[in-house]
Amino acid sequence: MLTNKNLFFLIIQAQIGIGILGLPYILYNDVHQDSWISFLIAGILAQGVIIVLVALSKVSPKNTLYELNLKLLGNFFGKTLNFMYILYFIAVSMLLILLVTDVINTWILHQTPRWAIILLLLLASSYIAKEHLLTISKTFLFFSILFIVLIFLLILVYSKADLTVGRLLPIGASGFLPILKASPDAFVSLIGFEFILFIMPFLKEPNKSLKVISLANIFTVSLYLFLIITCIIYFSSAQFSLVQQPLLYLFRGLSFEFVERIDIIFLSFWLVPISTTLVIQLFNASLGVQNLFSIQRKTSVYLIAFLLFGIGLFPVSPSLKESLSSLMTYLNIIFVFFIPILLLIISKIRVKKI
Amino acid sequence: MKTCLKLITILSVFPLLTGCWDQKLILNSEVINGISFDLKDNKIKSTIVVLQIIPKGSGYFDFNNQLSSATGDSLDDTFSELRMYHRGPLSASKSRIILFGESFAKKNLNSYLDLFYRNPDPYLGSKVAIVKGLEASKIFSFKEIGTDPIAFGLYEIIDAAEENSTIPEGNLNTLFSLFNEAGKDFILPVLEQKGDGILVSGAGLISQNAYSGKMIQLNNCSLLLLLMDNYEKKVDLLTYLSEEKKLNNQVSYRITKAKRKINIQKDAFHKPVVNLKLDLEVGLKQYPKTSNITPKQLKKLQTTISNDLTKRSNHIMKTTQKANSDVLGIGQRIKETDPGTWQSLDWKETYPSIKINTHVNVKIVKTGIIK
Repeated sequence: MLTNKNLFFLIIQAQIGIGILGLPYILYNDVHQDSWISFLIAGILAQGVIIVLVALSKVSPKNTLYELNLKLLGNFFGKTLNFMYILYFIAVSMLLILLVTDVINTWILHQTPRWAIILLLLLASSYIAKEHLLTISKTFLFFSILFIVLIFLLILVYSKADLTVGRLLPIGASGFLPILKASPDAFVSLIGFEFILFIMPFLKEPNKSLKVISLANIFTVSLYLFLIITCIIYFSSAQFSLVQQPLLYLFRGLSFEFVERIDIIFLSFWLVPISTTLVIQLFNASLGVQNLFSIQRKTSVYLIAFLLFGIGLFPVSPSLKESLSSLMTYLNIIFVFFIPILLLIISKIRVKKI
Repeated sequence: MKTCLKLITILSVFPLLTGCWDQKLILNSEVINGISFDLKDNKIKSTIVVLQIIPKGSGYFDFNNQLSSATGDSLDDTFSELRMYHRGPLSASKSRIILFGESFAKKNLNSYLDLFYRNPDPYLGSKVAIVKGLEASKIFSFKEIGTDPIAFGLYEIIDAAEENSTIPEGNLNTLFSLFNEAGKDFILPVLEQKGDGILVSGAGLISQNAYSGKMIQLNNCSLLLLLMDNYEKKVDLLTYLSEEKKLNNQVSYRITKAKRKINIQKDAFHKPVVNLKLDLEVGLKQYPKTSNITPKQLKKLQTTISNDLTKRSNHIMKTTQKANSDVLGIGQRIKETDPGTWQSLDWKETYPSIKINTHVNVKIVKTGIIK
């Protein structure tokens, strides 16, 4: 049974991952110094979605979403939706793997073939994902020490670099509508709380879950906000529109008496929070496979990992990767936002009928 | 069966974890310590210095600087030739210093240096300087500065100049954020050869990413840094007590507290007028006479210093306007506080002609350990 502490760390590990490396860049190119406002809006939106998701999982707290779908929609539609969810999680994992290998290939290991990186990533992730949820959460708790490292490094940036707070001004220059339009990009990077739909039955105190997840969301949002504001006041406008991984570039400039190139050291460690996101996607997908095809979860984790490895071998052009990314933005919003809302409405109607 | 499977997995993972595709042995690679760029006959001349350590047994070793130069049309063009002079792959991951010859510095540095920012390998902590009066590559023909090999020595003297608030702290990385900043220019240290030594001789004013050819002399550098509000702990300045007598007639003082205020107004023609006020608290370091300074003398001294600094800072601002180098970031300030006006101004055209009034106010708070 998961305690509140376990749940908290599961959610933040699910939320924070690869997105943190590139998000400030994406937002900055849309709305410049107002990125943080966009992000704040996305954070509030995420909070709304969390309320919906918790309400949905409380419809029947003893069931995961997969079981709930079958109950609500009947056998055929339920199974179809479950299958779509599995595909969605596999697609999310796939994109994640693509992005990670890309970052590693450009920043650290230029010669290493993609299959080697994917293989190592999948082996480590599926090794954790096959375990029981409690084991996963305890591992994540340990990994969360890396967030402290990140915060510490960000504070070091303040002590070392020449920052211009004025770069945040003028506030709101981009106009309200563009700021609002940029927030879906930010929202996507906050995704991860949908995990609650699948772990509600394993919670010790399901009643407190809303509070815990909200806290986790607040933590993530404030970490991101801190990062985005640091980036805005650190980079000049011309530079910010160029650096694709602002977080790494931020650390690239840091150097100390004995340690240099913090960016490379940081990226090597940051692979852990990235793979925890992958672990959660694998867990979600394998739970669905277990439910749909009655295969043991452990086996299904390996099956999915194998499938991902197979897809990962296909060469991907940068333009394809970009269109996949933008496609995923929509898919994320559909699967995390729209479908749960629909399901919630259906459940309310059904309860009345009964 | 299960143990067997585990064993196979472990055995197959180990070779992957070593990352053999990307191994770069330090033994093989030649580490560049310093790079210089000059412009010659419309071609770039790059010179690199590679430190070769010569072991002399039982912990003693000597070193030798291996210099190599190449000319080409772009930076990487020259590097491809430079590689041919060396025993192993060249690596810029530890370069301490990057020098620009005057002619090279006058080009748009941002576009020339793209190579350093586009690739993840180069080290961005390198110090950057302009070499005046001689070809940048000639500096490397000095073997050492003190006991440090030349590239390290140059790094150290620039570092020391930063600590003395002669030039602002900077390296290749800060340069990247200074390039193309709207409404703000910057300064780079200028190195010169004097006799057998190399020194930091002032701050070169950069305008639109290129060296303007004008520089702030050494004695005014610290004052410029105070005006820029970008100084380190140690800031020392000197003032003559009178114009006529110069020999041993200077008072020197260390700034203990500085407060800068910029006020931007608009005149009748909607042109910005800048009022810059600098309030300094100083402690005396040197006075031409070792005698009691009376309160009356102290007051007079304060006015003398204030007037001198006001005059000098006005002169500095005039120089930056002549060089069209908005090092104080006045344009940036307008952009942040008054975006409407910023849009209507062509800052490149405007800056040299705006009115900047500077006023320095000095208060002596300490007279050292003697009265």
